[in-house]
Amino acid sequence: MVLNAVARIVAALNSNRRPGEVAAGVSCALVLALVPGGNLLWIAVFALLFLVKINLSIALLSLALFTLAAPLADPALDAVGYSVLTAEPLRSAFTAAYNLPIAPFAGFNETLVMGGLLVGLALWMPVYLATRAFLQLYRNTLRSKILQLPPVRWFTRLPLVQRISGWIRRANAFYQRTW
Amino acid sequence: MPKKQKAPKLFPPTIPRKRFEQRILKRVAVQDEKRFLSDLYRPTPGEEVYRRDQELDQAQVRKLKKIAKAVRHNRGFLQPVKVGLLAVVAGIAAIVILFFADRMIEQGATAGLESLFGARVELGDLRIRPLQPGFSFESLEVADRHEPYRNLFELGRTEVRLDLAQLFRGKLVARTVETHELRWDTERETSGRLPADRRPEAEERVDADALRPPELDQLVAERFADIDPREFVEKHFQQLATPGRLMELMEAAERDIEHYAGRAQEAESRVRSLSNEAEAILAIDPSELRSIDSVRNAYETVNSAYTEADETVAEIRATRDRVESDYERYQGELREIPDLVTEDAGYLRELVPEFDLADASAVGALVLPELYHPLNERYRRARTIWDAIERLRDDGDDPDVEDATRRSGRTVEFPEHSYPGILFEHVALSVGERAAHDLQELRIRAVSSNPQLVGEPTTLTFSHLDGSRELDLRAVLDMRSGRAAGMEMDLGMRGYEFQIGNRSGIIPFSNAAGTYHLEGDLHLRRAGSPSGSLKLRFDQLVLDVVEDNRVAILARDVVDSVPHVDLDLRFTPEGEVTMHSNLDGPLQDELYRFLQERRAEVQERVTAEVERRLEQELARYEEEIAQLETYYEDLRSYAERARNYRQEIDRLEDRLANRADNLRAELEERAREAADEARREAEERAREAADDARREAEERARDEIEDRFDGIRDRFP
Repeated sequence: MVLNAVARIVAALNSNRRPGEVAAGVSCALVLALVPGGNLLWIAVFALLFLVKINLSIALLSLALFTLAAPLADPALDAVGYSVLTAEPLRSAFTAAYNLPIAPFAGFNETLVMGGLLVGLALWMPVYLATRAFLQLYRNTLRSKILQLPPVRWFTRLPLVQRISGWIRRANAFYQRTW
Repeated sequence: MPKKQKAPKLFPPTIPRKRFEQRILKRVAVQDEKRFLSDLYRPTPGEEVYRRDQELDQAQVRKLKKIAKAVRHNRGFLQPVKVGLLAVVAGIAAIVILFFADRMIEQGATAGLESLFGARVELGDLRIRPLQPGFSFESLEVADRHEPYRNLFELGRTEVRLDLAQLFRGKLVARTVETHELRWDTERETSGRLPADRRPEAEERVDADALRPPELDQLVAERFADIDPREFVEKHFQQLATPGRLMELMEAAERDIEHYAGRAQEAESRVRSLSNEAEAILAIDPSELRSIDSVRNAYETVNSAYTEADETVAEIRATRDRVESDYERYQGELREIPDLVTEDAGYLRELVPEFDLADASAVGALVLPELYHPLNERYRRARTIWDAIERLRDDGDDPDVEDATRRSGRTVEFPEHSYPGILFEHVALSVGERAAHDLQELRIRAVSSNPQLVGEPTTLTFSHLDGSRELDLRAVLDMRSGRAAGMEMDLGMRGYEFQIGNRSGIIPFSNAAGTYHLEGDLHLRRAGSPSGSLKLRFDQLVLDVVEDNRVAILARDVVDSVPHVDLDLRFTPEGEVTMHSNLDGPLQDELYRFLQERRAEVQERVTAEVERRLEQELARYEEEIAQLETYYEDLRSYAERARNYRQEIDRLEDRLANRADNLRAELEERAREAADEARREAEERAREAADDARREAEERARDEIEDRFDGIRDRFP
């Protein structure tokens, strides 16, 4: 299962997929990590991952990593969320939204949810662009250079690594056929 | 020959420029593959197309297929397969809800109600009404968890109108609940008990808190119950003088008996030893004793035995005398006991209660045991419903409940019309027509899982008109925080018939019947006893009594003498129940007279019992005294035996003395004869010795003479 996940991630980095898919996966994972779970908003964003062309393996890996770090940002998120939720010009809009059906399940009146959502949305595009640029750089330049490095070449010639890379190729082919 | 592979349809020999650049090249993400396509397809000058001139080998075809697949994948943002899948799942869910929602909600509601009431619930024919948000059901049976074969209540056809907007906000807000039939305490054919793992935890606590007027039993027992003389005497036995005195005497007698038992055993042992010794001594035949030494030895032995026998006799006699003296003393004590018994019987007679009814209601004492059971039953049902309402409470509304692992921020509240998780705003029952004099009306307001949020207590009004009977109930259950959780009830009942048949008890009625009116207010608290008051008026009260029961007869006579019976019950928060009645005075007087007679009877029975009981004790004491007498007899027997032995030894001693005198005379004779013979022998020997000496002297003289003659001759040859 771990190998499968690694294979999918390596395949996503190296296959003929739009870099935007991977970048969107990282950006969405950031939003999901910043917004605390247990509310409809989080569930909606998470469900969105399955419906749009976003690289799910990268998204889930990124979500796991960002979730570990997210609590560090809580004070800032709380401050942002509180300032927005208590901003007088927005009060009537929030009040109306709060009284809508289903709205209480979104939990938007919680400062961490609102702060996480806003900060996540604000960071979505920069993270998307940066990830996409990095992926393009990797695919166009870095990948071939990395593969030419002597330690990498020695490493890739190891029987075990070759066997694993065979699995990865097969997984890659399967992944491309399936998705 | 291998089949020649064709290029994918996406890559014909000629591709329009716009299509190649916008729809193909742009969707290739890998640079190498872009270069491959650019090398394969060249723009044609003057034409808006890209053209592939060269023939494709198999490797190129495979690569184009791969690229075509990637291009197709990279087209658009949605995943059409998954979106379609989601649509299918949503469709199936909608169909399932459409066809099975009734059943699902019925099961959910049944489970919810079972957890609230802690007993089985049967919900019949529940139907969802999507157009007019809400549902209806044909019947609802809620079992009584304390009586599994009875229902707490039953509802007939009921319609529930829900607030759809609040439902989408996760709150079950029922604007109205209209039911057309309500029945209480009906029978069930199957057990309503839930499996052990589904019963609510608080069940036992409710049972423990049930209405229990503790002083009722005591009141009845003290005033009217038969006093069992045996129990009465047993209860006060330790306070009597006789048992104490007997106990002292018995303890002393036991000590003496133990002492004399030891002494008797010792005496028996000494007599047995003396007997053995005497048997051996008495076997001596003095005539066979031949020497004075043997006689002397035998005499000394006998003398010693005699001394021991004498001592034994003296000791046993001393012990016997003491036993005799003690026995006489105990007999004297025994003669004083009957006076003590008389004193004790008098004391117990005075202890028999006076049955003073001045401070208690006679009617209350008669009626409370009858009222206890029905009152307790109704109180328990009210508490069961109260518990069910309490269990509605929202756990999530409790600010103390917080998941420690959850990231915690702040919640900003916005103005809203807040509703609790569950709210039944208005529950109504309406049955019958007022014109027909059969009407039931029930109104319940604000049953909720968060009374604090609703801002008003749960109120219940129930009225029932059935012919001449009329019932009005108003109850307020306030469970808002900061207030003493409790239920206030005002109850009015008019024209209700009652009948109690075959009542067995202190005052047995074969039948008691009449009508009653009741006005009352009760305050029920979460823990402890209810408080409040009830006023009951009985009309046309008829008592059919068991003819040989005097109390019942006098109670009936008193009841017959008044136009109606008024009872005034008061329950205090401490659990005390008092009752006063207009019958108290007359009934009390009659009862007082009767009870005085009863007291005299009881006193006689108590006296007889105490005498019987003390006689038992006395018999035990006399057994002890008899034991002492036995020892006395034993000791006397031992003393007799010792004395006999002593006499026999005495006789033997006399015989030995005679034998010794005889022997002495005989020996003197023998000595005398021996002396004579010795003297004669000595004289003979002296004579012989004198003769020998004379002869020897003569011989020696002759020899001397001859020697002298020889000497003379020698000198004269």
